Amino acid sequence: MRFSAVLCDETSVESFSKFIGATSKLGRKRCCIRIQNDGLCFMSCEKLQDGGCWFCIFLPRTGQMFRQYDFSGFNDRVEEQNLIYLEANVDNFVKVLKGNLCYLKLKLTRTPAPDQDPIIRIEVRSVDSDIIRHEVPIKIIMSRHWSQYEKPSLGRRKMSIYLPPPKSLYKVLQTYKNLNATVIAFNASSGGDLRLEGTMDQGEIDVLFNDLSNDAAETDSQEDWARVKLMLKTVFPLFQSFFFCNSRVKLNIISNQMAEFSMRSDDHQLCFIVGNVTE
Amino acid sequence: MTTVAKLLEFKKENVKELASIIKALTFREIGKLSATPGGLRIVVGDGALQQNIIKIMINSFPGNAYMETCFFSSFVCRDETIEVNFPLKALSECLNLGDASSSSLSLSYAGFCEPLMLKIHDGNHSVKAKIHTLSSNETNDFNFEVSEIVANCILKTTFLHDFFRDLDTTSPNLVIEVSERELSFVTQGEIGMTTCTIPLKSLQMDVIACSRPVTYGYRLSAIQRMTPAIGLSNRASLRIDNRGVLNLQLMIDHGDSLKSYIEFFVGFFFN
Repeated sequence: MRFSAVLCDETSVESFSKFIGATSKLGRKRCCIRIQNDGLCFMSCEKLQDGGCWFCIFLPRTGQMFRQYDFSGFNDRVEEQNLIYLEANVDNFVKVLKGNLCYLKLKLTRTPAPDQDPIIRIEVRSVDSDIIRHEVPIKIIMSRHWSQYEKPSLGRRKMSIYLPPPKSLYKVLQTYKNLNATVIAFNASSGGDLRLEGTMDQGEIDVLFNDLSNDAAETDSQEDWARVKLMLKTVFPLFQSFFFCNSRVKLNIISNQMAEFSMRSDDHQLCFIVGNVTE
Repeated sequence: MTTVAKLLEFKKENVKELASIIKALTFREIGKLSATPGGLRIVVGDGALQQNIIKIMINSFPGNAYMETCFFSSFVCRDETIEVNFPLKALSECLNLGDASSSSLSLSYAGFCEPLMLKIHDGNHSVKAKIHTLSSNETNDFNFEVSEIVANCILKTTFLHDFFRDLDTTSPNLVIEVSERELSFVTQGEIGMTTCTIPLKSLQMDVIACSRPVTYGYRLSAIQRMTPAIGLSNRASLRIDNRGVLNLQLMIDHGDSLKSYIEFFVGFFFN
């Protein structure tokens, strides 16, 4: 197994830091990092439960981010096994990436002790300092456990709709958060409408967005309206982390079961799945 | 099926104008909406029977000579007086969702035990909200008698806002001194004593009318609540009566001769 990647400018390192920050907000203390031939994935370690979430942030090597990317997986002769799975504490990465950095190198490195897991060696440099080296402990995941990190299957009868800009939704969700709402119902119609409903101690607020586009190719639901109820504290960090993005978010709703938020741009792809809340 | 007419209904274009005023008052949980056919007031009280009470009102009267430039595009109040308490933050947050200049609001209230019903249209989205109400209670109206005014200053608010924003927060009180030549604000905190004086000849000051020099102290925490409202306003009228009650009336000029007012009453702490 072999992995190293280099980012050589402030913009790339800043983007990378934002995605690490998003990973720490969306998940719990630990995250899974899947290193593959075409890029890096930061993924949830959790399973999808009632009100819980699963996410994957993919950073492609072909984007503007990586200046160098060298990789060889667990078994590079078999494509399905040409991967590296590891788990790490996200905060270790967050602490290392503080400041205005202009250079970042990540390298999977063996430790002197033969029975210990390798580490990720991180070299960073800011404009006015020399290179600083950090070592982040990680745990290599054996291939027999890889399936537990797989994306949950979505099932059929999806209603697919492109959401308003992340900034608009972030403002609405911030309003619900300020009023201590706990559960928000997302309703999407086949006619391009999105309605958010929140009930709080002080009253009820519904917000309706019109003239949105449905993804007809992905929609296989026969309903006029699809509905799912999500915990605000689970879905808010998604928009808090990505409200600066210009790319549109697509929402797939499987009524009363789950919602999938996905976003795609040159430098990242995001998938975020949240389970329905049963009250 | 006949629809029951609402007790109070009004519409407003450019929701941001109302949103910023409500936001400036959201330092207490509950406000009182008080409507008559002549207009709307929102009163925020700070408890009762204590000397550091604050009372804030927005007055906006659509029944004046400038009907086409009213604060509200339509206003109907079907009772002599309507009073209802409501959660300020809920209204403030709802109004905040209408931030485009082309946004419009309609608000209605059907009567006792009914909620405030809001509809906001804002370009690409619309908001429907139901805000629970509570029964109204008595608030201290301070009996601020015009004939008993001992000091009256009319001034612009540019400098006043800068000063209030930078008040020494380690000082527990603000002392206001008015004489026929100047208006002074004094704080005494960890950095020492700070005196800020606006003389009559200053371009900020329009009028000082003072029958005798007065000095009264007010709780700084009460005074600080006025700062956001001062920031919205263009002119202020600062009056003190012979009991030491401070009345600060702030005028917000929305353009096109359209004005609204926020008024504060503060009981003095010491003199």
